[in-house]
Amino acid sequence: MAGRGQWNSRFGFIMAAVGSAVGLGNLVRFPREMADQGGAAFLFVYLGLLLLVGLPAMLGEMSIGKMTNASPVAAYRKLAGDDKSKWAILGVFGVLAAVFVLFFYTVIAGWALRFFVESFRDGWFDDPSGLFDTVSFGPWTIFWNFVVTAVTIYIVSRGISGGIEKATVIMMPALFLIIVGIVVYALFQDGMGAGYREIFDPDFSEMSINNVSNAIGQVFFSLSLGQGAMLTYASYMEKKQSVTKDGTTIAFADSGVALLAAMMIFPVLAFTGLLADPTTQAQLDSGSFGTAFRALPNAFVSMGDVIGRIVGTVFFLGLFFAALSSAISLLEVPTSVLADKGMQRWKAAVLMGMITYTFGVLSSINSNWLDLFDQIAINVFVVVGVALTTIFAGWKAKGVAKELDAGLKSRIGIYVVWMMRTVTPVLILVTFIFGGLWGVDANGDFAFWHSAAGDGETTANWRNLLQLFGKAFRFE
Amino acid sequence: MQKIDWIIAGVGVVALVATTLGVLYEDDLTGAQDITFTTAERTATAAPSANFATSTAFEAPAGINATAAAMTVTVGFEGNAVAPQGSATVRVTVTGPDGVALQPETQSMTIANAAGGGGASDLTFNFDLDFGMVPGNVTVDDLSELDESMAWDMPYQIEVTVTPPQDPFTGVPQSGANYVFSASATITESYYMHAIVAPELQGGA
Repeated sequence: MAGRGQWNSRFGFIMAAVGSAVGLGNLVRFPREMADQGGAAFLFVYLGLLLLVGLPAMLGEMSIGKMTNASPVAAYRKLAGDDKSKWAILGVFGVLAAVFVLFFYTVIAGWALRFFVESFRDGWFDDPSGLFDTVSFGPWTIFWNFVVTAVTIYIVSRGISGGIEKATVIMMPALFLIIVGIVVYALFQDGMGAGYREIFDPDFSEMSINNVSNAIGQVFFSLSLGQGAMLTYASYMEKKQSVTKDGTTIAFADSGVALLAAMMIFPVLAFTGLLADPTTQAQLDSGSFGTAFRALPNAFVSMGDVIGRIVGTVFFLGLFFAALSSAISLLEVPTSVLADKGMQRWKAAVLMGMITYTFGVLSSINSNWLDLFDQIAINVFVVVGVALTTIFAGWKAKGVAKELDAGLKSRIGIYVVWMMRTVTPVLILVTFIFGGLWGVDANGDFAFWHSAAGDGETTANWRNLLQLFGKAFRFE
Repeated sequence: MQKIDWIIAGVGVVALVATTLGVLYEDDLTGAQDITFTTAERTATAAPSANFATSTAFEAPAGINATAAAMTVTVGFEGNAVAPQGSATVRVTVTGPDGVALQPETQSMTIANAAGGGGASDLTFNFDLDFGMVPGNVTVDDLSELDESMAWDMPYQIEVTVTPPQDPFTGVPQSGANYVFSASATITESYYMHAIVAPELQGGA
């Protein structure tokens, strides 16, 4: 489609796609999951699922985008060969997933930006555990959500090469340097070894169907699957680019950053003496937010006045870059749909940005709304969307294998398509049924639509979702 | 204007209204609580004790489920019959419902013309309490279940200790003097658990 825009370089595309994939899932959620759910055992399972589920699903999404040069809804229609094809619903699912994630994602990016700004005002240095209490929800959160949304709109409205590529070729290398810098610094500190043991000591007794379900969720989360982002970015690729080469690079770069983040966070907590601290453990157990905004600021303060401030400041800058680059890719999804329909790009970006910001106000004032949007995005749109997309790419779309072979010496496309037809959707279905629909509850019994909550525990998704609806609408 | 421009303008208005409502929205999960108490009136004796006016207050508002709070303690001088004017020392110790006492804060209170029943300006002490993530009666495994029903076992404890002005000749409070100090505490802001224990992310990027 003429005038849609294109990446200036392969490097620019890979940085943008890595920026989309690398976000909070890599920097905070993955390290926690790895340490909590079997260390290296979790890593093996994660890498296995990356190869069997994540990579084929991502290559499928990217192939659909590159082959059609179209935004999600139009892309499925084109490949289905029918303007009224019901497969277009998969594109709608992707767009809705991206939009629902944006309803809360810019709020979290706003927290990261706020913590970065507070680095210059002693905010988290004076009150490392407590600052998050005061900034997580409320009027100022609305303000920072607005700032992040405005920046995201600006970058997306500037176009593919002039906005997204320019921003991500700066942000992603900077993020990589920040993480590597902290990893190297931690390597030379006494006591950091306990952190490496925490993440790498394998404990296969931790592995269960629930943990596999968690790992597959992490793969989806981390690779931005099922949200139309990879499909949309791939639709701006040059014809000579290889989906297989670039997709594999992106997937492993994404996992590499996640692993580096684990090698950053836990050694830092170890050498500052906080890893064994019960309060820190409680903060880690409370989730990604407790890790990023409570446990780590404490660790930075423990490093001392100068080093702690420097490390903390660059960490929160990196966290903001990771979140912003992902938010950009998510806003690009609905923007591309409207732009493909003829709307001016900047107007499309402003319109969609204002809509997501408006719902983001709800996430800014009450955590139940944030939770509700998150649950709907992952449990309704993403899981179903990824499974059906691989089935579509494997069974329905023509020419996917050829697209995957383009630019390669060996013919592997047919094997990847075979994976999309069989192993990948079956594995998604099995983990969704046994880890999502029918989870093992605390008594070891199967229970309807439960998901793993860690340590073999489960939470009832259906009940959670219903309760969340009630709580959110009552503003409890 | 084109139709799309009207749509953008309309969404902009909705966004503005949502922002205004969001800013005005008062989360009933944060807020102020008044804890008011009055120190007992103490009469000085000739005993060479400097710390003669001690008041301890234990206040237990129902269901303290905050993880952090900002507290202001105000100490005032009510008056006395016979006493030398001078400088009193006021020390306030606050213990949170987690049982952890904050570093005591001490300030001087200048009592002017006390013998004639004079007065002194109130002293204000500000405390930021951070109780941590987990109430005493909640185990770590219950974190995902944290909500407003969870509460700490213990109340806030506020202790105010006053050392009255010393007789310049004897170095102890003047015999027979009585002092009345008052103290009040207000929790200016509380941050409640389920409002801040944000859920673990399931999805995203």
